[in-house]
Amino acid sequence: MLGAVRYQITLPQSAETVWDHIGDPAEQAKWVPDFAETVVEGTTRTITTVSGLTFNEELLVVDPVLRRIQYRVDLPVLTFHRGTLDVIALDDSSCVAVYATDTDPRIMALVIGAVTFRALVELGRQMEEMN
Amino acid sequence: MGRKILFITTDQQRFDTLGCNGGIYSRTPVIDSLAAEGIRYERAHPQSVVCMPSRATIITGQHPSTHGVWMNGVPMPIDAPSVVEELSRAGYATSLIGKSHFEPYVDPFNAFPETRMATSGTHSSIDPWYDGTTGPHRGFDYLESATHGPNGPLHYSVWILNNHPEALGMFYPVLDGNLEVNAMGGGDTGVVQVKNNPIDREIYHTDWVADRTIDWLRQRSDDEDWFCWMSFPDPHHPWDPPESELGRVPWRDIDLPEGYIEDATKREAVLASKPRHWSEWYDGSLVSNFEAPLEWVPATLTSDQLREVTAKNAVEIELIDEAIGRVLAMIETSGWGDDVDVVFTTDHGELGGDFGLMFKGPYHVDGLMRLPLIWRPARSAHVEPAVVSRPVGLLDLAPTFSQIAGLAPNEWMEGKPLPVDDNDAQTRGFERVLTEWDSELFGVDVHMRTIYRDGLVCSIYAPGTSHDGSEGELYDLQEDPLQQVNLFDDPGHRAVRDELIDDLRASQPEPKTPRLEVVAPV
Repeated sequence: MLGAVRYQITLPQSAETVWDHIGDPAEQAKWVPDFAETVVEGTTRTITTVSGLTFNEELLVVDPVLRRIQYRVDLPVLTFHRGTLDVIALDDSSCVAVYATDTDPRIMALVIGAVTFRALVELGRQMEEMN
Repeated sequence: MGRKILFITTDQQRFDTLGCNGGIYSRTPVIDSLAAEGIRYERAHPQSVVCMPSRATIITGQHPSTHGVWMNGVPMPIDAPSVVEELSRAGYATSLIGKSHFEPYVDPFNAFPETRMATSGTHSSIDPWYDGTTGPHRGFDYLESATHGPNGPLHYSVWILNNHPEALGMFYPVLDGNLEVNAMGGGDTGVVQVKNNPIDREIYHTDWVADRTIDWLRQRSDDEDWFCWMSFPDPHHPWDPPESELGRVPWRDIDLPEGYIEDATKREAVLASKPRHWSEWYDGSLVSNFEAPLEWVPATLTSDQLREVTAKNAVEIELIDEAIGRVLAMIETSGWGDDVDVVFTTDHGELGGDFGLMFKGPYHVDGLMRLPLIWRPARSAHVEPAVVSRPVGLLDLAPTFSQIAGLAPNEWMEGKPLPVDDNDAQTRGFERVLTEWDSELFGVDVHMRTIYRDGLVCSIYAPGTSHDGSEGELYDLQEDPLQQVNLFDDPGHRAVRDELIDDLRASQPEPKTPRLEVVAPV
């Protein structure tokens, strides 16, 4: 059964500024507190979590024009996964970052979504520091 | 030296499961003796009928709207107010042994302090407190965690893994392969969430919680004040007590629970008189309670299956009673008996076959809302035994603990110290108690608010998946203790209904803003 969760945060910076901070998929560990390391080779991103788990993701979209990163987590427990991060301009000096998780089984949307929620909280903190 | 506090909770226990409350299935002589010596509350309600919001209410003394833990999966903020922090600041040694559930139990990323304690083999951490200072995690010097089996990142799970790995597969698997609450049948009747568990009683979590509590208490000195929350995971499902104990309550010999309507036609008519989500869950068309097995259809429950669940639930309660007896005996042997307050309760109830349903959800009826609550004040306080019939809530526990410790209840507590008898309750205005439900997950949402006053229970609904906001429930508990006659739309009760709704709306606390996020299934 499919499940979806979405978290978002409004940021007092332009979409360009926020994208510059988070648009490199190899640098995700800088602002996702659950990740210790992210390494990208081709379209494969290898995640090592702070708790010691390691898994791969397939990068599906990295689009600086749309300001979108979309990927698929490769774990046996998942029959479907899409992670989608969008940075959407509200005006010249503010934007909203939306992090969506769609999974089958649905409960995994909450488990993985928790990581994205904490990432947005940390992103908000980092952008506030930059202000 | 002040009064010491032993706070005992179970998980998901009905009022009518104790001998002192008229229970017929379990023998509970230890808890009954606490009631005989102390104060037994006949109308204690939780402010939420699921674990995480209710436990947050216990420790904060606040309604869920105020503390913000509005459904399971919402972590209690690390710097939320806690009565245990106040006790710690006053010099009390503090512990929680057993089920805490302030933070999610599905946490593969070690994001929460209680997970990190269990996975690192430690029992404390220093965290922010509500007032901007720092101190022991939520006020607890020592935390040793357990839940309903060797599940999740908890101390009991680690202990079983390291010391009794052969027992890992003995318990009922709480979750299925999709991480949903498991609908697998077991036991003798193939009933959901039941298993005949070959585990030795000595390593089952009930005795483990008591053993660990006794161990912590042995480290206390005579002149030390302490607050110990001994928190049993049972009798919450799964119902998989040690098989060696099942002979205590042979399921084939017991009567069906009073709230179970054997005649299916009558049962379904009663359900149809309630708001739509009752029947929708019963017939399997909509599951709006994420704490129940997704794939289980209540209409399939047989009389024998309910007998088996009831019997296994009763066995678990007897084991808890005996475990409490061991801890109380240790306290008496230590010479502390006259100076220890003992408070016994649970976080919420269990439907237990009422209306053909089990588990819990957005159903504000006595099975889930009427809780066992007993306070045996320290003998040195010379409080007379009493039975209190006026309504109290779990939010009254935090200010009660403050009062026992000689502290003034904090202004952030929304409850009042528990009354010692009905005169005290009347004088201090114990007239109503509120319970709330909100759930929003995967496109299904339910929102309801409930008041108990003057022997009446009235619930109103906000618009949601199954409701347009006009629905409600009204039960007269004197005339209809089993809540089978919904009077909400009865013209003869319109005036009293409207008065209760006005009171309910006027009594609502301001909701916490911004709303906290759901970040885990449970």
